[in-house]
Formats: sequence, C-alpha cells, structure tokens
Amino acid sequence: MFELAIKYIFSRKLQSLLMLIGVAFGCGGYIVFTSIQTGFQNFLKERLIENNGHITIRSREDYITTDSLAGVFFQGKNIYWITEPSGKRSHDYLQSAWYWQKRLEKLPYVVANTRRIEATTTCSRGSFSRSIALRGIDPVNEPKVTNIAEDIIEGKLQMLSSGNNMVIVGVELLKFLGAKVNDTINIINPDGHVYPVKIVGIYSSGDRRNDESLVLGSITTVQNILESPGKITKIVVKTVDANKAALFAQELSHYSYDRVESWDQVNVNFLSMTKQQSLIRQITMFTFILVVSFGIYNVLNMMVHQKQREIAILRSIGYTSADTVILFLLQGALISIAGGIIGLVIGYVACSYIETIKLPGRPMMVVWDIAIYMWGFMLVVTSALLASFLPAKNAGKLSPIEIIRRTE
Amino acid sequence: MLAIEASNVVKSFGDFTALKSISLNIRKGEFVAITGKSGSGKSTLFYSLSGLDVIDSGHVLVLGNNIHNLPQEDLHDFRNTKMGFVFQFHYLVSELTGLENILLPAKKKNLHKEKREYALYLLDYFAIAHCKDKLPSQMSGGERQRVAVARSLIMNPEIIFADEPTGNLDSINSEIVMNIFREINLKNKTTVILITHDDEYAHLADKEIRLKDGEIESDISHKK
Ligand SMILES: Nc1ncnc2c1ncn2[C@@H]1O[C@H](COP(=O)(O)OP(=O)(O)OP(=O)(O)O)[C@@H](O)[C@H]1O
Ligand SMILES: [Mg+2]
Repeated sequence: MFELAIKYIFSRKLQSLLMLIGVAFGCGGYIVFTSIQTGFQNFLKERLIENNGHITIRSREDYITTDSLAGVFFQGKNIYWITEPSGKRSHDYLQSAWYWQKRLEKLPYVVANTRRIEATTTCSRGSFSRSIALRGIDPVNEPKVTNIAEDIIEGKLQMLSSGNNMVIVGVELLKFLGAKVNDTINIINPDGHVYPVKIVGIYSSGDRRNDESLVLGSITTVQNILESPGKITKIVVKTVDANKAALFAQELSHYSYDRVESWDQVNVNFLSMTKQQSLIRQITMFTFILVVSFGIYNVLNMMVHQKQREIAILRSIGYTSADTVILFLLQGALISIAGGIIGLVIGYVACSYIETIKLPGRPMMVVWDIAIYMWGFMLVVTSALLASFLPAKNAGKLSPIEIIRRTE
Repeated sequence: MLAIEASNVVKSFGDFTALKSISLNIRKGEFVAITGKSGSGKSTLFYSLSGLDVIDSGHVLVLGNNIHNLPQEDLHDFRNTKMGFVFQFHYLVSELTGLENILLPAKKKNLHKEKREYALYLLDYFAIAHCKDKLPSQMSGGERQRVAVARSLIMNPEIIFADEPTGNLDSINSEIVMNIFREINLKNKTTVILITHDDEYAHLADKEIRLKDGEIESDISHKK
C-alpha cells in the first residue's frame, strides 16, 4: 500500500504540492509566530521583573470610613462629627520595615531585598515644571534585587550616596527640562517646599513612562525632600524563582497586615494583555490549520471519488476495506509528515533570520524552544491526519460491487 | 469434484427479483459460458456465485466453501488466491505499469518477488511484453484487457470469472483474449466462467448456460 500511496501522491503533483505547502506553512507559521511572541513576552516580563523585583511589600492603603472609628472613643455614647473622617490615611509608609528585613534575611527562597521610598512630586527648572516619580533607593542593595543599575547610561548608582541631594534623572525628563549632568534642578515636595538637587547621572530604560518621569536619589535624600526621616514606602524582594513569586508572596502575606504582591499580581494588565495576544495567535493558527485541513480533506475526497473503480478492483482481487482506508490515510500521513518536516526547517530558518533584525533599541526577541517545534509539528500532522481520516473511511465503506455495477 | 455448486439462489432488488431460485453445478476444469439477453441476470449471477454480492436465499459452494458464510478475512483471501476476475472495463490502476498491475494480487500476499518471473512469462505469452513498463493510458484497449487477464491469472486461481471481457474490444482483440481463456482452461485446467453476448464464443465453451428473466432457460453441453 505504501508504494501505491506514493504513486498516487506523485500522480497528482499539483494537488500534493499544494497540500504540502499548506502543511509546511502551517507548521512553520506556528513556530515563527510562537517563537517571536513568546520571545517578546519574555522580554517584557524580564523588564518588569528587572525594574520592580519579584515581590513588593507595601503598607496597605487604608481608607477611613464612618465605621472605622466606631467604638474607639466613648463606649455607648453618640458622637457627632462636624466633618466625618473619611478618605485615605495621610501616609503610606511601611511601618515595620526593619522587622520585615530581619525576617526576609532568614527565608531560604529570598535571594536579596532592598528598601525604597517613593512619591509623586514635581520638579522644575527655570519656567519648566513637571510631575515626577521620585524614588529613593539603597545604591548597595538595589542592584542585588533589580537591574536598574544597567539602565544608567551616564554616571553610577553609587554616586547617589556620595553626598546629599544627588539625583539620577530619566533621559526624556532631562531633555524636557533642558538640563544636563551637573546641572541643578528643583524638586518641590507635597508641602510646597523647594529642594535643589544636583544631577549626577542619566537613566534610560527604553520604557518611555520611566524615562519621562523617574528621578532616583538615595533614601536619605528622598526622605529629606519628603521631610519624613526614617520612613520608607516599600521593600522589594528577589526570590529564587520569579515564576513562583506569587506563591512566595502568598506565604509572606501571612506575616503581617502589610500588602505583599508578586510581580504578576502587580501587573495583571500586562498578563491579561499577553494572554490576549496568545489567544489571537491561537485563533489565527487554528483558522489557518482548519483551512489547510479542509483543503486536504477536499483533495482526498475527490481522489477517493476518482479512484472508485480502482478501489473496486483492489477489493475484488483480495484487498480488504482496511487496506483501502490505509491507502488514503497513508497519503495524508506522508504529505503531512513531509510538510511538517519542511515546516520545521522553514520555522528554524525564519527564526534565525528574524533574530538578526534590529529594532530600534533592541534586537528581535526570539525564543529557541524545542517544545514549540514539537508542538507545531504535532499540531499540523494530527490535523492533517484527522482531515484524511474521513475520506479514507469513505473509501473503506465503498462497496466494490456497486461501483462495478455502476460502470459496467 | 465441483468448482461451483449453487442451489436455489435468489437475489432481488426491492420488488424486482433478478435471480429466481437458480441451481447449477460447474465441474472443476470446465469452461462455462453464461449467455442471455441484456437484463436477464447474467452479471447478477456472476456476482452471486463469486461472493462479490450477497444473496437473499439459497447457498453457493465454491470449491466446497460456503462463499456467503465465509468470514470477511477468509473471503478476501479466497478471492486473492482461488479466484480471478476480469470485467468488461479493464480496471487497471492508472498509476501502475503493466507489470505492476499484473503483480498487484501477489503484492497483497507479499509474493511479488516470487511471482515476477511468472508475470513476465504471462506478458510474453500474451504478446504484450512491450507493455511491461507502460502505464495503462499508454496501452491500447486490447493490451489493457490482456493485462487484466494476466492479473487474474497471476495467483494461479482455480476459477476465472469473466464478465463480457471482450465487450469493449474489436474482433481481433476479442479473438486473442478468448483464445487466452481457452488455452489456460486447457493447459492449467482452470475453471472458466465466461459471460458473453456472442454466440460464437459461447459455442467454444464446454457448457452454455442460457438465462432468461432470472431463470435458467437452457443448460447445454457442447462436449466435443
Ligand atoms: N442494483 C440494482 N438495483 C435494481 N435493479 C438491478 C440492480 N442491478 C441489476 N438490476 C436489475 O437486475 C436485472 C439483471 O441485471 P444484470 O446486470 O444481471 O443483467 P445482465 O444480464 O448482466 O445484462 P447485461 O447483458 O446488459 O449486462 C436487470 O433487470 C437490472 O435492471
Ligand atoms: Mg451484465
């Protein structure tokens, strides 16, 4: 049956070639899309983790409601407020930073941790002013947890602790202010007090949002500006495995009332975006493979129809109905396996080429994962097999005598 | 010993009864012609005797086997080794060469290597050696039919069933094919059951069974 299947395939060169191309592109396309998309998602994920660590510990943002103070003052007495206390509590400082750090150091899955103090304020230079994200960091511990240091294109993180009121400024913000390194700019704290600081470095991550607003200083500098000596807003933690961060965060959250979140909990939007991207890719692939499968189904179905007489004679000389099923199934299998192999090569070559394409700022991100190749191959081969199964089954069901009677 | 023993075979299509209780015996090595007008039930009898089609009642013994009660696998095997079929249309596989077509039944049994010699001999014997590597589309009608006959002989069957094998051929080619049947009948003692319209060929046979409206009208021996 094998030889006959091959002969059948070669006797219909154009149709076989089209099926082959369809399968090859289905497989290759799956590999290329998946490799690029996964590469891009991994890249974004790494950036998120690099900048913000695996786990963040912050104080819980509390809102005061009428009930919050019930029973606090005079038991059993009615209290009348002139203005009811409501809204956010005035600060979001982490109360138990020291306690946290002691505890974190002992945990086996914590690699490092660092403190930060963050606030949104304004900075100005001359007549320009702009809202900024002011971030006080620990220049020694920060690089152990995040890759912020790698994004500093001029100056060094360590320079922040070489004196008071030194800052590193995002590259876009710097452009906006028209400032350069060693210039002085003013930071206005929420109470309206102005603090002049000196620019000692430039930060550029490629992420526009950060580059336009980030101002890095030492923790003491920022505490000074915010007039909150000794306060910090968060602790950032690096764990042994970013993918298990949610699990670790869950465990950490039992230690205190503070808010403990893993990187993927903080970035729900990012994750749902990548999920949506993947879904779109899957739907596209599914549609494409469906079209290819339908093509295979059609060609084989037509072939079964055209080959009726030959099927009849095969049956009359002792071939079983199973033999005829195999004859057509084999054609589907051979074409899909050959197409799949070509698709693997196409995928590999295309990915190799795409990896060399330079985008502004970074190369194309392509993951190399054997699993993607195996999936692509299996996906097209199984769907092509399924598509050839129905026509093959029909061939098996043909009654030889009816065909002969029809043509005699 | 009987090659075929049919008793009270009934075959109907809906209300229409194509075979009305046919009983007949065909001895081994006999050359039998089945004749009759168009629509008299010749082909239907052919399919019923060879087990290609099911019957409503009665039974058919082929070489002592109840052909309609054989399990599917045995039936396929039986067709492969004991029976050869030739139809009015040649039914060659268009992708295979003359030689490959002849060897097709042997291939099922993985005997195509052993049978190759015999296939070449048949090609030669039927004067179609030049068709060995030709595809059916490159052969004449007579050549194709001879290839089909060679294919029916490749497994040395005990019975050959032929349904108007010359129906599409001119008189010269018909003559050639008929002579082949006659020769294999004489040489190999192969039982030949031949359906034909042509009285001339019918007279070549040892026995002529004439059908009319699904019944045996006459059963004449031409023993010479
Ligand atoms: N599948 C079928 N359904 C209904 N009637 C059928 C079927 N097959 C055959 N018949 C009828 O059975 C009768 C016998 O048909 P059969 O083919 O055996 O005739 P035949 O003697 O071979 O004729 P011919 O010489 O034209 O080949 C015919 O009247 C035909 O119409
Ligand atoms: Mg007929």
